[in-house]
Amino acid sequence: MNGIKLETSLRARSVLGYRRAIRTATPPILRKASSTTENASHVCDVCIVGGGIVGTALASALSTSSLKVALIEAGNLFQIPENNGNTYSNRVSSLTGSTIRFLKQIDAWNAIEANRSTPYRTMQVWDAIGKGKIQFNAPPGEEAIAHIVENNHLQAALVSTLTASQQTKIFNQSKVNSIVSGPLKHGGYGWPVVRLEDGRTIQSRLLSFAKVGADGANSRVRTFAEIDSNGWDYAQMGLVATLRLVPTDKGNDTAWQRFLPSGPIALLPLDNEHSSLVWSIPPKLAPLLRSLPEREFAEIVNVAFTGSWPDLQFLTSQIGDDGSASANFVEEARWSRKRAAIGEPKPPTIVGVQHKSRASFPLRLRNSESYAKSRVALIGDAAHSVHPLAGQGLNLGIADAESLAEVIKEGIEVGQDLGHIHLLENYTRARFTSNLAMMKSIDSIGKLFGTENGPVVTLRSFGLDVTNSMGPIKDRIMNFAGRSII
Amino acid sequence: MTRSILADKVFLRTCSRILSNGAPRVQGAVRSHSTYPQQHANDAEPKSHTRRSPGILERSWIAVSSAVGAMRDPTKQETVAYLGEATGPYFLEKMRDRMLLDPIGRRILRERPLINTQTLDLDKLRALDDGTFGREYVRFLDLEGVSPDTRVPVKYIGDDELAYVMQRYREVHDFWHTLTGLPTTIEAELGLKWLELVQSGLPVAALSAFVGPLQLTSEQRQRLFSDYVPWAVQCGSSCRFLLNIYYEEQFHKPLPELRKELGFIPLPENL
Repeated sequence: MNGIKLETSLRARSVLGYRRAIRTATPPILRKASSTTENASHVCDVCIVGGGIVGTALASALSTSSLKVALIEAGNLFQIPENNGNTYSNRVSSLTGSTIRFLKQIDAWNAIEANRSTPYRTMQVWDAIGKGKIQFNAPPGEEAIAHIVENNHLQAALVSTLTASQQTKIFNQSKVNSIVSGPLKHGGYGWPVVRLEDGRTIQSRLLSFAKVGADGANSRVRTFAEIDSNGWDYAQMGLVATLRLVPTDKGNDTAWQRFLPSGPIALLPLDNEHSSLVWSIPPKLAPLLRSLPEREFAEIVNVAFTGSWPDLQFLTSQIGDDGSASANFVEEARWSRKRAAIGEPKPPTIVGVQHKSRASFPLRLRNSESYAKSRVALIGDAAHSVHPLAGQGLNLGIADAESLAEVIKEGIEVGQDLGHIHLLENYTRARFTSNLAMMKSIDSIGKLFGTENGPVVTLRSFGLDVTNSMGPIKDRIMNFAGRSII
Repeated sequence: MTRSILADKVFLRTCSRILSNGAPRVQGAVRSHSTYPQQHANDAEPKSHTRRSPGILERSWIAVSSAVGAMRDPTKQETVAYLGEATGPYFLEKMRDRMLLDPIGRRILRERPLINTQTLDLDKLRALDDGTFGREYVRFLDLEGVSPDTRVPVKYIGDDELAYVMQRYREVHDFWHTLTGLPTTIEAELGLKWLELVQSGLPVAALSAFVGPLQLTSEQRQRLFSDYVPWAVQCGSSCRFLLNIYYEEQFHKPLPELRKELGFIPLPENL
């Protein structure tokens, strides 16, 4: 009898929506009622599709509540990243202060080994054409502007916070086959039903998409959610690599970014002898740079950071289709260094590349027209995609996860239906505008520095120099980029 | 009658010198040395302590006063040269960047070869076969009675590399006469100025190209704009960038072959 009563009241909530649950004393923990539609169906409160960093962070934030959470990931969440001190993954992220505050809250920050997170105190940004440059420094009280962490280590740390939780069920190495709305009759709730390829199904009050699947899952998500995303593809690929440097006595605690007309190139510190490269390049150049021999690649990166723009253009024109170099890169790089202007920023010299660490991926700008619909919420890459030039993509996603977790927890405190759009609108309201503002800024900066037009170059160099001399404005910029609270 | 013809000739020669951005040519003995350019600075390279970069106010003053002076007294070659230096740096940078994009241009910038009587062995060039670039070049010099010694040394450009680019630009002018086959008549010189303008975009070339024809007779002007200028513009747009050619290594080549290689459209027959 209890079971029937429960079912009726729940169904009433989901159909009529605005009627609050009468039983507000106890949070709506589900019991596996035997009258559910699918026999072996896993029923939970929140189902997270996509076990990337953002999805796992959401699961972790919810694991401290009494909610039942399911996390579906096509890859292997339990893969232990190697930590031998000498090799680094080529996908790294710059984690800002607010991200780290959240990670500390969910006990994930301490799970990252100390030697796998690198703080940097200084960020030097400058223009290849034009003489403008700007330098950001960590304020005196704080340890760093941001920390560089390898994505796989962060992921593993987040997964480690989930294993203790009894309420969270991880569907590891499971691909999503289809997503449908469950039937409202015969004991069904009208909730989304996720069917995996091995036949298992999961029903949940709220379905949260956190990842952009590579196998077409993305289109299934969008078809089910009926949320369009808008944006454009940048005519650029992001080239990443792990580089070996000449160690300096000052240590490696600076992040460097130079704006070339073809796209920015950034050097992020990992340890005294290694740094991570993120370089936005024209797509045609990606396979050529990936197949250049190691020595030539190191020299062309050096020229990209310290040489003149025509020097770099010349070197890229001397790479054959098979990756062979038809000029003496070492000599050309040496000559280019000799002619470098005095007073220009000097990043450390690159001497080598970690074997097989060069990879590239397309860059694009995407924003969903809405972050939530009835019973569906989008976070992280599923909601938006930005250019890596400001190192904000992952931070925005984690802020999304934090915000959605907060909204859900507030909702269950007053007994609201998790999947109801009135509750989810709080999440959209909290994140949509700030994400949009950040995306617009990043896109505008990219466009501003992507031109060689004379007057624009002069103006932007002037603007950089002026901003560099205004401390309060730089503080505000850093606040916007790193300490923005939800 | 004869005197007026002579006077005309002198006037024409003076104008041609001015318009070709040069100093009075030295009618001197020719000293032999190795034909191939030397690696480092000799006496002819402008020393860096005699060069300097003027600020924007001084630069404007030099530009204006040189322009006025050049129009008032066209026999003073320095004025045109300094006008070029005062207005040139932005365009010199562009030319230098074009050189940096080409392997031969890079070699020229690295080795910095100079063209003067110490680096060119004119006797050896005279001994080359007829019809080769080197032989025709020396023939041109002998006909005009000039020598390739340094013209006005670069004074108002502080940067070493840009000063060298300016100097090279001045020094290869005679090679262009040989390559194009243009004589030193005033219309031909102006036609060559138009070619330079298309290639380099320098303001001083633009000034000469547009103000120069004003001192011509209407008949000369008509010939200039109907024959020389269209050819010059077409040739300048299609040929290889003139500073990316290592002239010193092409002396032995037959002229028609070299012209074809570099994309020089030959002069129309009636000129």
